[in-house]
Amino acid sequence: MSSRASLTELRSLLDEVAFPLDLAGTVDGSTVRRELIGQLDDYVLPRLARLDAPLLAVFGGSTGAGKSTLVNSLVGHTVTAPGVLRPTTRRPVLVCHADDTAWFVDGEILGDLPRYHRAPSADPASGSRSDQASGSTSGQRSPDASGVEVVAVATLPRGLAVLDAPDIDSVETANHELAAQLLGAADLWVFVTTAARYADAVPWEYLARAEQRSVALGVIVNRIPPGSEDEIAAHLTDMLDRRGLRPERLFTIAEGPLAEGRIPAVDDVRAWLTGLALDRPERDRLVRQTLAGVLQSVPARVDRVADEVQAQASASGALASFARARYEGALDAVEGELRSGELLRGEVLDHWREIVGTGEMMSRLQRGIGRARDRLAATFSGRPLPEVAVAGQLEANLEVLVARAADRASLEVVEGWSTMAGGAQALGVSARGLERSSDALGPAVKTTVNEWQDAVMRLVREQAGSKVTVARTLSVGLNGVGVALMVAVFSATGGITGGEAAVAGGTAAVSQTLLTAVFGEQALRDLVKQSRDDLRRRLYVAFTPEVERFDALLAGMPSAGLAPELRRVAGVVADEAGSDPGESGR
Amino acid sequence: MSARRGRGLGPVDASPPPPVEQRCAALGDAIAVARRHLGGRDGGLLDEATAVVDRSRERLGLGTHHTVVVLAGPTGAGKSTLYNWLCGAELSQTGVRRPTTGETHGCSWGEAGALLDWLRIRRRHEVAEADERLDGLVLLDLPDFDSTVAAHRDEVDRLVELADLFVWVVDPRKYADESFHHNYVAPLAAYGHLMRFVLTKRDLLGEEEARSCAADLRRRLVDDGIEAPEVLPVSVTSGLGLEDVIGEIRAVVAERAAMVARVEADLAAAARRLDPGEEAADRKAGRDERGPGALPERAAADLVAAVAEAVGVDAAAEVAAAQYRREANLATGWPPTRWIRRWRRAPIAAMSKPSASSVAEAKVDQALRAAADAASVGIDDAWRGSIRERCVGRRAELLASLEGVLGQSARVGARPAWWAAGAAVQGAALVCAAVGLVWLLIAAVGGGFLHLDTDPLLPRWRGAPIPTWLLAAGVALGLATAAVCAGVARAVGGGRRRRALALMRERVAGVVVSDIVAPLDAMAADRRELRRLLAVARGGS
Repeated sequence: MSSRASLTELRSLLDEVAFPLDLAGTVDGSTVRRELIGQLDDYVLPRLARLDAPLLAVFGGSTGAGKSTLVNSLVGHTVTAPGVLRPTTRRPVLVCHADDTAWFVDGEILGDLPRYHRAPSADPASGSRSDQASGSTSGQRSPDASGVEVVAVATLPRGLAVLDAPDIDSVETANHELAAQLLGAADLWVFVTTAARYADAVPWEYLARAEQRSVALGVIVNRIPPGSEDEIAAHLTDMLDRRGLRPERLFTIAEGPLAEGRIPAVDDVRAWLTGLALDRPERDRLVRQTLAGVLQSVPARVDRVADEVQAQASASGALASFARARYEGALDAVEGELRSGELLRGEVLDHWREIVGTGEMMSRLQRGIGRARDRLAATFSGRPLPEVAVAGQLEANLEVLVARAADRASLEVVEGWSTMAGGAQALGVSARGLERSSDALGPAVKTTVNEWQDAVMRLVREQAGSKVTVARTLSVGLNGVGVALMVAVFSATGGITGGEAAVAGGTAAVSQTLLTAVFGEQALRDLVKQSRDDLRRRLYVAFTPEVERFDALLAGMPSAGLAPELRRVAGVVADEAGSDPGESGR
Repeated sequence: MSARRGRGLGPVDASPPPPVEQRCAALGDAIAVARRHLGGRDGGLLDEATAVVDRSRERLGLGTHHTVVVLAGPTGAGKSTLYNWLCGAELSQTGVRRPTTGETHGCSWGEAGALLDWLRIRRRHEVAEADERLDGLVLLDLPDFDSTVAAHRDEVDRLVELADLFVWVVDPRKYADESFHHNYVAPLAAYGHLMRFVLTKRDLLGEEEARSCAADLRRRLVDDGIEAPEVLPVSVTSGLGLEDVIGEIRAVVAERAAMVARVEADLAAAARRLDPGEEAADRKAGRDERGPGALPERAAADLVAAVAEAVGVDAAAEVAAAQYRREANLATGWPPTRWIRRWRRAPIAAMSKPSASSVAEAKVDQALRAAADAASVGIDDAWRGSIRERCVGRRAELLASLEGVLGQSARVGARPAWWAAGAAVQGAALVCAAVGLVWLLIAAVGGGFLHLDTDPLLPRWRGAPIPTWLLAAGVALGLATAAVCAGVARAVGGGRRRRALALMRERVAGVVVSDIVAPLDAMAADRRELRRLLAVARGGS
């Protein structure tokens, strides 16, 4: 039973698999996954549970190969409707002995496919049963074409079911998927082809799958020009051989007139199938061979799925970290621009001069009376106090720099993603809005910068403490000290050395003198660093929603541990299958 | 350019479509125009189109005498049997083993060596006693496209590009194959008018069956996008319908139009792929006649205003005014105190360069980005990228041009006449005050130290000594002049500020127009030209 348990585990793991990105191998990987899930549900799990269930022989092949006619001829009833209009069979028909119908109508075999029980005397789905010529289009396109019809006939022995599957290569792609699903549920593939078709590429893709899974295989070549049977049989055997396929039997049927819609020469095919049903050991051998083959094929197929899960995870990770790195880069760029002291140019500097004066001489002249005059001027003129103006301009300039950096980052992400695996598809049509920052970023940055300024002021208040008096004597006040600290943060040196005097026209040096006087050199260094880090941290938080816009496009990724877990369980399945495929079913 | 524009935007008359050579040249020109602007952003489309132009030129160079007809179809449908019948000889191998035909076989009615060389067909046959009505026919028997041999598919894919007429050969059991419909007919639907469909093995079916089978094939072909497909049921064994096939081929060969039609269809398809296709977007965006890619008037005005703000036009104008006030005050201020101003930094010296500030850079960047967005409404991604590049990528040049513009306007220039007048009055006032002062000092020295009678030294006027009057008047005049001049300087400075502002805005606008708007207009003009050329390539006027 352990095999069943591990298969069930594998089955539920496969359910967790999702491929949100469109990579090179995604279509392939999801096809493998879908088929594997289908085969586990339709065939492996039910078959493991009941090894004594009837042998299911699925007739599959190209459109126009004559599958329906062949099945009708084998069972001696018109159970399925052939026709000249391609493709014909849309709803697959399963034929078995009346005692076996319960297996197929109610049993777990064929999984979720809807099953319909049809009385043997009733007409096949299409209205053109006895009259092949008049297959009307409306009759061919019955609306409830999905599901399998189960028909009981007396001419088949117990323990054998024959299924007429839809084609694998017509323009009706839904047919291919259903045919693949039905072939996945087969104990025995009976591959039907014709003299004109046996070298077609599509059927050989299916045959390659049969080879991978060591499915028991029978081949029927229909419609051979009389006299060419041996030549074609030899050529086809050779082709099968080269691909490592060894069918149980290969039948050739010459093209000839039908007798009442039946092929006359199908006795050896019927005898072979009937023999399989009656010969228990041979039947068991076939059932086990196919089951073991399918179980052995599981690790390779799961590997393919796991590879794709990994590819998805690493592509998604690469995309996500690319986006994150671009925004990190934006923060670096802002910080670089701040450190170059360029925020201090122009109007900011002019206003700053109003606070600390144009030079030592003027500052000495203005000390004491400067502040009172400013306050008076501010009251009468309605203009803001100089330090408020400086803070305001620092804020405005900072906002511009941050907005530009964020816009650049988003454009870089969009451009980068377009060239990365899965990126263009992840961006999809929504890329238009992602080339620039979201509308929410502007207000968010404004709030962030304001909060940072408040935090700097708080810091100054805490740190300065009793030294406020010192600041007062310097005539700039606590707010002035705060702004001085911001100025220091925005200059290359952090206000520690006087080397930046050239850039700021002596102003930075003045603010440095001021700050050093208030805090002392070491504490000042710490304060500047603390404020810078704080700003970066706050901007990072402000950028987070921007990055998350891109993360949201990568939503739906299965967890990272899924791929190794899949491989592990698949290994267990293969080991158990290798030891004894059928034992667990007893 | 203007002559071209005239042609492109002229009224659409009912003139015949341009000849194929002209369409081919137009596509070549269109590719050159697009390549100039798109660079590597076209995703390989331009290279594909170039290949089409090259191929079309080669084929046209080989003349219109020949018509290349290919027999294509799935394995076992009876292509080779039909081919052999048409050629009247057992040329192509037939047999029960599948797939049969591996290498393309070519048969020509009349001499066609150069064409067969171009088609790279090695196995050739020239029909000896040719039916005159088929003269110029080059018939190719293609390999199958659905067998396990992938090389056959490659050969079919190669020759499908070069055929003038497609004769698809299918049989009643293979006519609905996915490989036929999805891989060949549907993708080639643009060449539907150059396709004929032969349904072979007519002898396998009854009358009614054959009819419904042909109808079903026709229905599927319509689903693939073929308008009114022609399906010819034939039986090579009984000879049924074969005359229809040869009749069709004869008609096409005699007309000698299939090759040109093929080339035209190629050119049209390539032109359609290159077409930015934004007529609808134009109308929606309500764009002016310059077309998409040009900067709308309003966005251009916004750009000028934003750039002016970013590079600090207001501050520069203020500096101009302050510099004027400073120099005026230095010239006309009260001499005893005006020298103090020299200690202060000149406003013009404190002005920072716009390009040196990353804040200005950032503001200009944002403004350019907004302009690019405004210019590329409704434009596809490749061109959007080019437009953005054209705008944001030119930030450095723009700032460099602007720097020159802004520096000049703050200079005061020639000293105004009233400064001299003010200075002269100040001089006179100073002399007057000095005379009074010296006089008083002499009187003070004469009266106080030498004990002379000061009355003769200090003649009085209206109760006060004249030197006192002189001193007082000199000082008063000096202060009053300084005040009046300061007022005048403020007023004139204000005027200067406004003028400087207007002047700088105008200059900024000039730079923005020449550096950004004009290149965008030129690009838009090229896009119009591209669209016109593509329309010609498509066969419109």
